[in-house]
Amino acid sequence: MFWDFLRDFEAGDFSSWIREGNFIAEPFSTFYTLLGFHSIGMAAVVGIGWMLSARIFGFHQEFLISKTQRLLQLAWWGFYLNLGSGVLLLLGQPRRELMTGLFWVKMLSIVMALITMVVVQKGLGHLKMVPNGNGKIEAVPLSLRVNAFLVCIFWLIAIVAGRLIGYTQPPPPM
Amino acid sequence: MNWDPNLVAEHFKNLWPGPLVRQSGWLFSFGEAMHFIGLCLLLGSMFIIDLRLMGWFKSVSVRAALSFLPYAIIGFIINLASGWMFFTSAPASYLENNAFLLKMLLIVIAGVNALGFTLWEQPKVIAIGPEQDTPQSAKIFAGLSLFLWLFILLLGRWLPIFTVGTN
Repeated sequence: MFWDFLRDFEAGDFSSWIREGNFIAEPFSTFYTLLGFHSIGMAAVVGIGWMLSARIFGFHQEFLISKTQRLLQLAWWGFYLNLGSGVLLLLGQPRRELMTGLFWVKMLSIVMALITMVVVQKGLGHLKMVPNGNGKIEAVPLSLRVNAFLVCIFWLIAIVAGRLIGYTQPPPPM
Repeated sequence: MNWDPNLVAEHFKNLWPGPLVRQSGWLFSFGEAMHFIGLCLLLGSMFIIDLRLMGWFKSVSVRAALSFLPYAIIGFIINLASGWMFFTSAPASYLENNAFLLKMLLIVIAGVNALGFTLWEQPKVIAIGPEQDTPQSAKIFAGLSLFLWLFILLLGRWLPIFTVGTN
């Protein structure tokens, strides 16, 4: 019944517009324009996540991570852009996406990445300054470094799985 | 002397690793994954550097923001290598693609912008500390940089729209 609903939805104007229509004007197809926004969101959330993780691992110690809340906000906005564009892309061909194994791998890794990002964000609010030579640096606990590493890994899996979805998708269902 | 575009494409088609990519069932997709990793490194660091130079995230010094530059360089190198893989696998299809040509032009402009910043602006702003604003010229360099790289990313995703044909 749900599958029949999706089939009927795909045959409708909105889904067809996402899949085959144009965004504002030719030749900018809706599908590839959404992919473009999806990529920008990915660059923001993953790129900033990786940069902050590098800091948490101990590099760039002049960069005070306790003062990076606005940067994290930008990363979250990147994720919201991904969420919005991702949902629209899914609505373009839901049956085909849901039938693709790597799609589920990507979704699972995104969920795990988000959970660990929230854990990291909470951990950043409790950093202590400790003496170090001439001044003070932020003491980053091992648990925060482990979570930052997991953020990197989960986003890496999401990127690779997302890129390979196109190669493993079944043909469009009848 | 007349340049035959088909001969140019044929020349690039035989360069390494073009033949290898065409024969392989997985190299192109591997290259695509690497291209995405590269762009995340590049743009992730550009967001920090350019937004600080534009006057955002003033809680950190300019020097601290610029310390992320190596990731942009690594990301660019990864993208250059993977991009070369794509190009040599089917050069004619890329040379006929207006989005690809515009993307390459914008990458050159972004490079010139980065060089200009390094030579003229970086010595002026490197000592700017936390809570201090950057000069207008630095904001222009940074704003242009961020705009160019985001548009370059978009053009990359739009390549399939502008694909004319393949060889």
